[in-house]
Amino acid sequence: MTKDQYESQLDELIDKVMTAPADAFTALPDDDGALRVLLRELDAETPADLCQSLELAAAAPLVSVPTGGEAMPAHLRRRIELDASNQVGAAPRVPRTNSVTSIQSARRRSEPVAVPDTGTNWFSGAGWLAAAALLVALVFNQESPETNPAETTVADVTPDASDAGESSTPSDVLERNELLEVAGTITVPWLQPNQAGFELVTGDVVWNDALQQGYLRLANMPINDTAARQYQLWIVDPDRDAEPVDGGVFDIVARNGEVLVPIDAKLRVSEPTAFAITLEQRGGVVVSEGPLLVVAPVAS
Amino acid sequence: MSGFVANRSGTLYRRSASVERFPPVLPTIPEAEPDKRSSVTTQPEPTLLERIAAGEQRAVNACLDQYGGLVWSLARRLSPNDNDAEDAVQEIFVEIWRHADRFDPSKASEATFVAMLARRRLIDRLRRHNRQPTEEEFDETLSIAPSAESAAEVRTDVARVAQVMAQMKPEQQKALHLSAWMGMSHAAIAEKMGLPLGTVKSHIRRGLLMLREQLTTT
Repeated sequence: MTKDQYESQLDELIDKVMTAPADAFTALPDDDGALRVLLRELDAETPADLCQSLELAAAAPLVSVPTGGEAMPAHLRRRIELDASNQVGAAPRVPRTNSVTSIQSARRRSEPVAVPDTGTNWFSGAGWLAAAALLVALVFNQESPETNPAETTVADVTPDASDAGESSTPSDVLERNELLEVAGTITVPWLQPNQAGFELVTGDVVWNDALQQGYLRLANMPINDTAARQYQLWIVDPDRDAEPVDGGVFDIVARNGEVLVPIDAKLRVSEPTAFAITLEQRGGVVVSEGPLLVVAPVAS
Repeated sequence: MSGFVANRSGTLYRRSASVERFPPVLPTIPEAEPDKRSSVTTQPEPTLLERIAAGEQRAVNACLDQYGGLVWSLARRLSPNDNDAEDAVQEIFVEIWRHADRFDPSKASEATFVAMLARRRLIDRLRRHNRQPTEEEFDETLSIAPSAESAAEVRTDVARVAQVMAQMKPEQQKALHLSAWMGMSHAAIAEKMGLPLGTVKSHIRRGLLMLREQLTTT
């Protein structure tokens, strides 16, 4: 890569980090070699580190913004303290692992598509309505496991064990109930899955856009082989990006009863149109390669 | 065939499972030099964010005392009115509680991390509302950069950043302001400042890298 090419790639990334930091990873080079050069030249371990270091640099001078000694209004502070009482110090929940930090452009690993040049307004509302509808259609029209080696089969998950293992904590139950009382919280039931081994899964998703909090309620979810694979939640958000947002990974270690899983959206979600669960390598992936096992489309 | 992703027109489609993953980049981590000055290992005091990440409720008030003014001030500068600023501040602190465990003191000061989360949320709100900063906000934002003298009174690392800013030409400072703190694109800045696009990109790239270098050496 020439110096001009390097600077051009870096400029593209900086522009994205400055104007839309949450989507910065979409400006990472498609070419693996170019990405490695950027990481090496900027002494970053991962693309996520690279983006964050640029964000930190941009924010550094803001630290000394003159406040004029003005404190935030007292009523605002009380609201924030109330928020914090629900979020800081919550009891440990269903065991989870952080997702992998390597961020890749979806384009790199996806099938070629014709990308219309429509400027920055990539995602029309109508397009995303179609996307949500297609997501549901995908669930019902996926190829059978017999014809697709990448599909999940019952063999991918551990057979039912005894009732040993984690279950929802009282704190989860309480917090989910509290969330249901908050204005703007939606409850979205899972569609009946058609994936082998998942047909009996029931439950719903509870989500609140303003609080960026939510819970999965899952009953009869097959136990996963926790040493090798984990379930991963995806949140389809038309206002954000083509990529579904990583909603966190989790394990199911007992099949008896219901499990509540707190949603851990890695990026801000503004208006989800669907929630979907896949089974991925342990730790999760940035771009899903697994079949959609359980899906909850949000009614429009 | 499995997996899903949406293309830019919003249509979900499957991806090929046969495409190779990007090989992981394995960092070379030099072995740390043992501290020969003392055989006694002292545990540093946890920072506010580390205490919050550990679930310590008392740290919430301390955090609001420490950073409430900063966040409120930033929100007021980049919000159309006080109501919007209040919503923004509430969102920012939710982010702070949620991401406190991602703070790494080796990469930046705690205040810079808080400012980063605030900036991210404020720019996201500007974008979501498709709102361009007004001229008044523009002028106000230009006053953000402190003088080296005033910053020196605050903290050493802040002073260093201020010194970096002071080394920049006014034109470069202005381009960096518009990009980093108002979320304007390179193209929009070039148009607003009447400069060639390449010049704007160069100003911002160099300015940002200077700041970044300063952070990593702080």
